[in-house]
Amino acid sequence: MKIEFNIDKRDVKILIKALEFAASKSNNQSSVNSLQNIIQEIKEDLNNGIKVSNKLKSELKGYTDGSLILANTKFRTQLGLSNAFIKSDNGLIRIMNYILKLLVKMYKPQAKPDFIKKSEIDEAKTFKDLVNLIINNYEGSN
Amino acid sequence: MKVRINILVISLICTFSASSQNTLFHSNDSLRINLSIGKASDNQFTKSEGAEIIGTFPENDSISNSWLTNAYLEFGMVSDSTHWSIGLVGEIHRNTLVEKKQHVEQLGVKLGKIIAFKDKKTGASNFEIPITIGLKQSKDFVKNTTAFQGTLGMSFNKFKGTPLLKTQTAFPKFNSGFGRILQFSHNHNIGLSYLGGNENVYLGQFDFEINTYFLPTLSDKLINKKDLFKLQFKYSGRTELFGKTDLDLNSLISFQTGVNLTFNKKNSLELVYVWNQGANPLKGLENQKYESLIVKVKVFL
Repeated sequence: MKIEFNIDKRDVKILIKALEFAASKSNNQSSVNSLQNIIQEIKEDLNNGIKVSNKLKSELKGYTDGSLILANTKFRTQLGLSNAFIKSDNGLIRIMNYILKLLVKMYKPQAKPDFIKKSEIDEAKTFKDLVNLIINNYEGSN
Repeated sequence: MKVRINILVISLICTFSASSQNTLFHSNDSLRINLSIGKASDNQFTKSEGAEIIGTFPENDSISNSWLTNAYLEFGMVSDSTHWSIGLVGEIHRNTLVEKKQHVEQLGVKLGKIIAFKDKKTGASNFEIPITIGLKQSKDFVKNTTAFQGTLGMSFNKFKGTPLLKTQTAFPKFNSGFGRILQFSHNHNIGLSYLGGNENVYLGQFDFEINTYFLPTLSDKLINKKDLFKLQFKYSGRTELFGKTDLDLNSLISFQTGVNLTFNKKNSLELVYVWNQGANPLKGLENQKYESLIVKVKVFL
């Protein structure tokens, strides 16, 4: 079963602590194993999110005007990116697919990357949307 | 006698693309079918502008209908892997609302190629030169002439480095100092054109635009774009390189200001005032001065 919900980084840490606490109090070994699997999955998701975010920030560095990149930064208006770069087939989309490819190669070597399409970027507004797009397409890569 | 005049003002950019396969990207043979509508097909610079269609139909037999139409329709194919594109294009430039009337209809072929200088690691471009080549048959209904036209247009799009030198990039920095009040961006085209028929002349061409965005932070907050209040200056200059022509070659200068309301991520409504002075021999526009107030509707299908 796949459960999806939006949660910020700080709350993820609280959730992990709560699940670890629940696991430590449980006497049932199968429940402990299940909770530990869930904790592991959440940690991987969190790490992937941080990795993707850092990688994307680093790859966009030369293309921006040096403005601070935060999760809610609107990439079209607040980063000094060229509109031509955002629209180009060899611009932003290439960088995002490059990171996606690295991620798939590293963690799902047998999988075929589910490449990001330009229409998906058209829908994105913030830097967080771009990170989520890479993560979602990574998860959809099989 | 009371004369009622109905004025229809429509301007639109409409693009539709369909892929020959599901995977659009990173496929060696990915081809897209592309249908686009815009102001003029000469180069990337004019292609990105919205088409203008204005019809005036007086309910009075003594006054004839009048038009202001600047539009092209292109149907073509784009190869994502080779960056080539080819298309059939039809174009109308008709303005009966000015002193020296303009009415040109064109039909031809467009070739496009993007020369990309890429980063070896990511494959993303650091610098791009989009090139547009047009071969058209042009009929001028005012002068009653038909002539072959060839155009070559290119831009130099820098994606990295100093914001001031990058095309289509707002500067100074958003939300810091002066950037809170005003931001600027620029775009350009350099090209050559050939006018056949009675002219047989080669022209050099240079187009340049500067956009000024007022209160970009407020605009960003309200419509998620920076062009809620915008002022645009455009310069389009031509000169004879080989051969001579009697056509007006005066530079076409325009100032444009207006309000842009965006309803969702792509569709928008603009109210724009435009002041124009100059000529465009490729579109049958003789040297003159005129103003227009236009409503632009941008629709993406």
